[in-house]
Amino acid sequence: MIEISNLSYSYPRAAKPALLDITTKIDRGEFILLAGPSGAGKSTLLRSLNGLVPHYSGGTASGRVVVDGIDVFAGGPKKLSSVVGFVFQDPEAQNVLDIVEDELAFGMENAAVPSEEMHQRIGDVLDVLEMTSMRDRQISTLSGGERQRLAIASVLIMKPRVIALDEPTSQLDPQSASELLRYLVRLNDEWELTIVMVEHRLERVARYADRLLYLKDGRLKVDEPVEQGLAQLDPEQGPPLARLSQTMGWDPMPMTTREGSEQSSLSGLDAPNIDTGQEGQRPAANASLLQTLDLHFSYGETAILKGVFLEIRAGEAVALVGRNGSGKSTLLQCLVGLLIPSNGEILLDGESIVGHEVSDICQDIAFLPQNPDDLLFADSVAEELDITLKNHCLNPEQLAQSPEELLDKLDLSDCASSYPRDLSAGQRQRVALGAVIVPEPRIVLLDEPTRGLDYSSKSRLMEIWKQWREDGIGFLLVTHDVELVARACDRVMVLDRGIITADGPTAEVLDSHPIFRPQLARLFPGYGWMTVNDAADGISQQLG
Amino acid sequence: MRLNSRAWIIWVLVVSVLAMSARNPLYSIILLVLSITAIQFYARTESPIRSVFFRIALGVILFSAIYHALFIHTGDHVIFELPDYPLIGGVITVEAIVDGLRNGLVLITLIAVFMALNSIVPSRELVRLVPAAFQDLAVVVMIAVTYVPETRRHLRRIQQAQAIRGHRPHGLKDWRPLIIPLLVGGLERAMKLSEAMVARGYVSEQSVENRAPDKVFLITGLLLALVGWMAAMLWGTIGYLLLTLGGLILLMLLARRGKRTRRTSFVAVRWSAIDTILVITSLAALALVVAPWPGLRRVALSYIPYPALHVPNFQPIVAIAFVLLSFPIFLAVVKSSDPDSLGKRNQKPSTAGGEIRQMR
Repeated sequence: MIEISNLSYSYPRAAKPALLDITTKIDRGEFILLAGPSGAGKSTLLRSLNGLVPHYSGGTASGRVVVDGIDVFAGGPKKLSSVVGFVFQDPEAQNVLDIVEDELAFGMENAAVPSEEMHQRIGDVLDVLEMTSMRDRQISTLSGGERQRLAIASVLIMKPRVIALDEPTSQLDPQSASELLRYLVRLNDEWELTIVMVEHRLERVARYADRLLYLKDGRLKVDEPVEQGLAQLDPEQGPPLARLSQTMGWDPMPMTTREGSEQSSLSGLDAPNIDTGQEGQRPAANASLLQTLDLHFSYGETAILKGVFLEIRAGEAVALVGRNGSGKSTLLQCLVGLLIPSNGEILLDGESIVGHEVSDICQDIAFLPQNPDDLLFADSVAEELDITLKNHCLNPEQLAQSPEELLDKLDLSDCASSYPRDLSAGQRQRVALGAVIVPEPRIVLLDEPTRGLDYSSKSRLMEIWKQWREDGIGFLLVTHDVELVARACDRVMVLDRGIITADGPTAEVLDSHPIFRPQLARLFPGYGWMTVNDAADGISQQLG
Repeated sequence: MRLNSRAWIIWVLVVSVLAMSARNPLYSIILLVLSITAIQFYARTESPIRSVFFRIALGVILFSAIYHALFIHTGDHVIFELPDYPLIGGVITVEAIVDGLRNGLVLITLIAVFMALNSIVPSRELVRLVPAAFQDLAVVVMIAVTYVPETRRHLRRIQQAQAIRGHRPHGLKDWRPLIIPLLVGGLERAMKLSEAMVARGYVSEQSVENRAPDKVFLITGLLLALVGWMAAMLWGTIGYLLLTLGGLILLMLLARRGKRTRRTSFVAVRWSAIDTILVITSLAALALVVAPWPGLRRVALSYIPYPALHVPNFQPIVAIAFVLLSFPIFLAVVKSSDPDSLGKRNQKPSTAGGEIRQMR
């Protein structure tokens, strides 16, 4: 179906090539997982399948890409748009029109599909993706998962032979993500659709894919069936299960929960001890920094928060998890004063901060919103930090640690004079973090801090947080990334439709909520093992 | 019932032509009210007119008044006199202020008319109106039309992000933290959208082999039109004939190129009798004001407060035009007794509360 031979490509004015001498062959009906660290060339390779690279991006390409018999470089995106469906990372950026059914018709109009057939196809595709009830909806009222499904529907409707997806689950909660993946697997089976998917979070996708292509610095490092491929990865770059298998020396690597249980029972594990005795791990009750009492908030008629009680103590990292649209971001915005709660109290050190100026609150409570690019505007990284200090009328001398030290801790000393927007996603995230944390707050709120980051950027962030926690800073983390929660948080709260429905030690809460279980907890349900270290220790203890 | 987009566009064009030619404050106010009511009745989204519009309107009008007061120094009613500063020195008059208010009002009316266009007619229908020969242009139109609401949401996000960093906007230079992320982010978004459109087959397709005759037609058509236009000023009829011929050749070229671009349209919104009435009433309103009727005093369409302030006059013939233009409003009022009759799309309240927040 797809044949890539000796593909090399450089972006215009780039110092080094984005892709180097890539050769591979993808058969009809294969599900390919395309992975690699940030900047490795994954998105570029994906775009070379439908001719966006080099036709849209410019630059120079050599080698040959043939998709369904069409030479991509000669054919260009228009010709390939009927063969390769392309789903972008950000569903909001790819909706051209504002009504579901119009959006679906858009591609067909360009392909001159007759009007009656359009109606037919729209009906069919909505049926397959179980979206029939949304036909007339305004796209802006859809949830994140629904939007991503619409993006997929609007490419499927063109009856492509190949569907290329660029991190389609990065904005979805674990349940929406696995639903989306299941739809894709069904299409893969029933329509013999060839799927090529770029994804950072291998733990989400690995079990569905047939083959792993792993890129690094523009070269194809791994091109193997997923099981063998994962085993070849650098332990830091693999999903938890791959790391555990490497630690335990399992061969072959179990891919599904069932295979994993078989593997572990072969290794002679005892049945899980249902009473896992997690109580001993409860963090010491430090002084409470931030507290909310019966917090309510609504937009017009719609109640978003319906009585939230939460507490964050010094040095504690708390995760707030929940479905898309459960009110997590609204809660964060209330905490820093961007939204005024309609009812209830927010106490900082026992004193109410409701109605205080946002800029005053943010000296004590730092908040990192989802998109770091909204924060960054200065000419250099160092200037970003200075500007925040000036905004708060603070002198660097008044601080316990100078901005330079902070940059050093954030691993950004080398690019202190760089233009922030030229940096990688992981670096920009850290610059934005620096820009909100430089006034030395006591609490840090993070909204989806690891979206689109690779494993090594994530590990680096977690090391930084760990240092700050030792200094007594309290963290509240809003995230869909359950692996991150398992590794970095002491306590987890579950927000469901505006109410906190669970609050307790990480292992206990994640284990009791199937949709928020990390990969290893799914593999060893009931053992209370959340991270690779937990599981490795646990298994070696049990096996003596 | 939903009115056809093409009919709406004609209505909007007529209202904006009137807003620009009839610069009498009474007329402007009526047109402004017409546009806002049309939005309230026909907008596809809920409550599209926000207080921010009224704030901007107030700002524009005040700015215009101050500007006129400072730079125009004629009129009988002198309020006070500024010393002899360069440019702004001289008498400040009531007439200049009134003139400024009037100008601001015209601007606001135009903004409101285009808000009506944006909120009533779906952007896809606008793109569909672009002749098939101009696909590239259609892409530009699309990006421009979706840009405004998207930018408003983006600006709000940036304001929040900067407030978190302790930003308190005071002076003009404090706008930098808002403008730079807005511009850069806006460009990035535009790039993403256009990339998505290309990936979905929205690419101009010009076959190279057929271009030469097109160029000949284009040059001939333009030349004829140009010569005809100049000749029309000198010799009249012959010039107009040439101009028409040139125009026909250009139209033929359009059709020729349009035919080559293969596209189809989804859901042809059926043209109903009511749409015809809307077009007829709109065009009639235009004719009433623009054509040289014996009873119409063209000069009095506008309002010039100098040299001395007076009450703007109001001509019955223009009043008839406004009555004609308010046809869609009458229609909406009549139909509103019958629920579900207006063209609002089905808007289920979203259970996904957090998503609502992102859309604001």
